[in-house]
Amino acid sequence: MAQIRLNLRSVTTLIVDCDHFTRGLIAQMVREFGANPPVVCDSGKAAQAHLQHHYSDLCILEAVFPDMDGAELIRWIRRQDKSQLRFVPIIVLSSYTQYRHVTVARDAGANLVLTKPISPQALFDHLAWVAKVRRPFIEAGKYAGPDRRFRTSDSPAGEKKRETDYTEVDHAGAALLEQPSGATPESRKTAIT
Amino acid sequence: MTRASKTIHFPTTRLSELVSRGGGITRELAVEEAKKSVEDLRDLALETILQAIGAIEAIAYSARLNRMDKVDMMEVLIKADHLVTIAATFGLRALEGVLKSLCDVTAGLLALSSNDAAPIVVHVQAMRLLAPDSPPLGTEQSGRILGELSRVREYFHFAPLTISRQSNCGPPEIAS
Repeated sequence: MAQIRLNLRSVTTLIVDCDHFTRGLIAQMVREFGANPPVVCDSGKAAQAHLQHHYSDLCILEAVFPDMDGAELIRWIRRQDKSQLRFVPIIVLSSYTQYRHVTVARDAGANLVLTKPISPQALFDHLAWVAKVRRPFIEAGKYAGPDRRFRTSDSPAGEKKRETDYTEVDHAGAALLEQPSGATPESRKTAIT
Repeated sequence: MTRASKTIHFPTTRLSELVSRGGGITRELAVEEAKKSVEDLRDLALETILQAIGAIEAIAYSARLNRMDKVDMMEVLIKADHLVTIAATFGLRALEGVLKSLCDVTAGLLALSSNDAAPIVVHVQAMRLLAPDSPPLGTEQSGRILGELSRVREYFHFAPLTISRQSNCGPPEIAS
């Protein structure tokens, strides 16, 4: 099996964690993966203020901040209409006492929720997974975020095992899934009862 | 029957475009470098742990008539929670166990609206015994301390805050 290789040289990362040491630890790992020095914030409000003027390619957030719930920040990001920011991959790191926020963060639109402490291996693997595995982005009444209904991390193969078989889109939508990297985001409207 | 509209996008994020460019770093090298970098932070981590233990002790020992107010308990919980992450990152297993127990007890007391400081003070004393600058204890002695703390939790019927560590949402398997 070939080595996974990532080019994070131009990637801008936002890390939001109220603990100074943990912020530094995660930032150090991301730097060693080859990314630009991450932007770090210690509160949800500071993160919002940063994101209003700067784009980040990846957000790594704590599940709860002193000034707001992490889910609140995720929902705010996911509801940025007409902005690419709403599609930004979000990884949530939940600490020991924040365990109950795991499902809340997922339902707010996080791509991944991981528990601390996180090892360099785990962070790299999950970061690679978030970057390489394409998931449809759903905007519904109460939810905006990556499709939570996925079973495998790789492209499903074979009849009746395509992603579109369980995302309720037609074949035009399926074609978009197969578009090469660099394609502009497209959207299709469907209706559910 | 109501019909709610749902939009499905198929975005290509800038992250997925950038990571797919040529060059970059292999997983093996990235992880190795990051591990070294984390290890370089060990001294700072131990210093941070000692400062935080001191801060928790100051709060716990300032309790009067064995009573601690909610704000102080919240402060203990936040500091202990941060310490769990740092202790676990640097392999201080026994200290991690005590800190998790402290989190369980403090969160339990807060949930019960109890201001009993005794269970917290007991944990703080145990935490000091297992602090990085304290004389090292053997596995048996550490196990005995953790066993006694579990009796405190059992007395109050406090369950661990995490039922399982298998809480990561999303499989990280990727096709190379």
